[in-house]
Amino acid sequence: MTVPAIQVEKLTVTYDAEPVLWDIDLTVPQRVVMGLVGPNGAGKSTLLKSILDLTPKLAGQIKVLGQPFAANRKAIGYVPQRSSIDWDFPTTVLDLVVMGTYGRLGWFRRPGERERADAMAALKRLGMDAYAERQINELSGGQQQRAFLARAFVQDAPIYFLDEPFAGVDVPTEKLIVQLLHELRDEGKTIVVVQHDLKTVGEYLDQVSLINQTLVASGDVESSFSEQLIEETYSGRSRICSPIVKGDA
Amino acid sequence: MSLLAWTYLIAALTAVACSLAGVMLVVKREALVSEGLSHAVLPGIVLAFLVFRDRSSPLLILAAGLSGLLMVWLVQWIARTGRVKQDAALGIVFSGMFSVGVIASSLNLKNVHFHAHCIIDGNLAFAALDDCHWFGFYLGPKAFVSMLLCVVGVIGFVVVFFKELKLLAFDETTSHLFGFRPRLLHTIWLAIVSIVAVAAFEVAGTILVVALMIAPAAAANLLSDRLSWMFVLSALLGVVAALLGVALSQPLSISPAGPISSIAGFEFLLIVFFAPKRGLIARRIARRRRRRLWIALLAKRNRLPKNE
Repeated sequence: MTVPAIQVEKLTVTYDAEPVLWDIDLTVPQRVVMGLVGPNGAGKSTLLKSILDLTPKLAGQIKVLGQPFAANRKAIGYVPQRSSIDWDFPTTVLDLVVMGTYGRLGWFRRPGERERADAMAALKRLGMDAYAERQINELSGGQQQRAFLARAFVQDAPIYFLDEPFAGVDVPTEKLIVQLLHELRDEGKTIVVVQHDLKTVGEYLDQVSLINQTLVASGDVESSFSEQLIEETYSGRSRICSPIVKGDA
Repeated sequence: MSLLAWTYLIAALTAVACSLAGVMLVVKREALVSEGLSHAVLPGIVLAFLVFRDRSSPLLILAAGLSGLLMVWLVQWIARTGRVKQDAALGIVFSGMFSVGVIASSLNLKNVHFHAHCIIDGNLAFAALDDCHWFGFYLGPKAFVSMLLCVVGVIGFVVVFFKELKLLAFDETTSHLFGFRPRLLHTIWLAIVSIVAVAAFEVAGTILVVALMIAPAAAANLLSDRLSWMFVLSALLGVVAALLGVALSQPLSISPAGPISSIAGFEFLLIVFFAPKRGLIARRIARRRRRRLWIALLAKRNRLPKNE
């Protein structure tokens, strides 16, 4: 069996006194589109942040392709939530996509012709080559999302994290993004998506992880996305008492 | 070189150093940090002066830089407690540190040429009077040497770390995933900004430092589609403000700090209105044009069924 793309072991994260994530064991196999699903405030973004080592963990560890995060951090491509980006930042679409090559360039080396050509090819693949010289603020929401996807393509990482990629995006773009994610998976990539919309889970995702402080279920959409498990995920927040009692017993 | 020529040169160098330093503050949305740093360096300067009793000691600049970093660290620490937002934390820390500096200086330094008035206004008009010698060579006025070093330092750092700084400002998470140590880089950058602030502060006073750090960079942001251009334009706008400001101060026989800040502000206002793509007027025209287009489209659609 191949090593999992991401392995989360016994992850607990607390802000202040209250745990946000409690004792999460999660495996993301390679070559799947996995969705992190759960209600607002359930800890989806915190889980994402902990996997990316952006937030301190109380306990637990993360492995990326079998290695500790620090050794394999460049294996992860990240597409931020659209609302977290400063769209007035002075950068053109092409410039943004070229940023995807910075990781392989490493410190000090400048992007050159080759990097720009790679970026143009990625823009072409997403039907965005006509917008290469536009400032990122001059794009529509869907085009902005596509520009970031082009950056992820250029990065050519084995694993991608997308934080709410469908938020504020028009329907054709949403379909296009899904199609691209599936293409990427067929090329052997692993994709983790934070998702809000429950209706499209079956259509878009191969696997799903239901999260509400604890991991309620994780696995194939057919088995893990049952009505009962969804109900369990979306009802009530304080579900960590039972593990504590179990732990003490 | 005449005193006035030196004053022009020092003003221009100060403007370049500050307006380049300000670009990263503006794009990273932490413009208020310049205000904070320009005040929070005071206790460091006063303390170092009390210890070394030498107004021209380079240790003063070092102490001021450390004081600035202390501010950055305190702000991050307070913000991280989650009780206060970042901007409020900054407001609390820098005003607190500044007042400690003011108290210390008014208690201990009454008879020394070192008072709050100078700190706020600076003394650009006299900056060229203090000469700097190095192993017997005359290098020019001290303010010229210190600002030249700042300009070289900032330009050097920006050129060498341009790609890393861009990613830091735009997408810190990806910078972290690529292993570019965004937190460390950010701290180093803020240390450089504090050193520039201190050096410029000695020449130009706090208000001018803040004006030169933010106004040209904010104006340049409205004019540029690329970060590299924004750096260039910001420096240009800063220099123009500095030169015009000094020129204006001559017939009025006032300190140049006021005119320079005013012109920097005026440049910004002009650009807010007249910037070709993102200016208020350009936006208004674009909005009107779009509305007319929609109306035309609606009219066309409403007419169609009748014709059919």
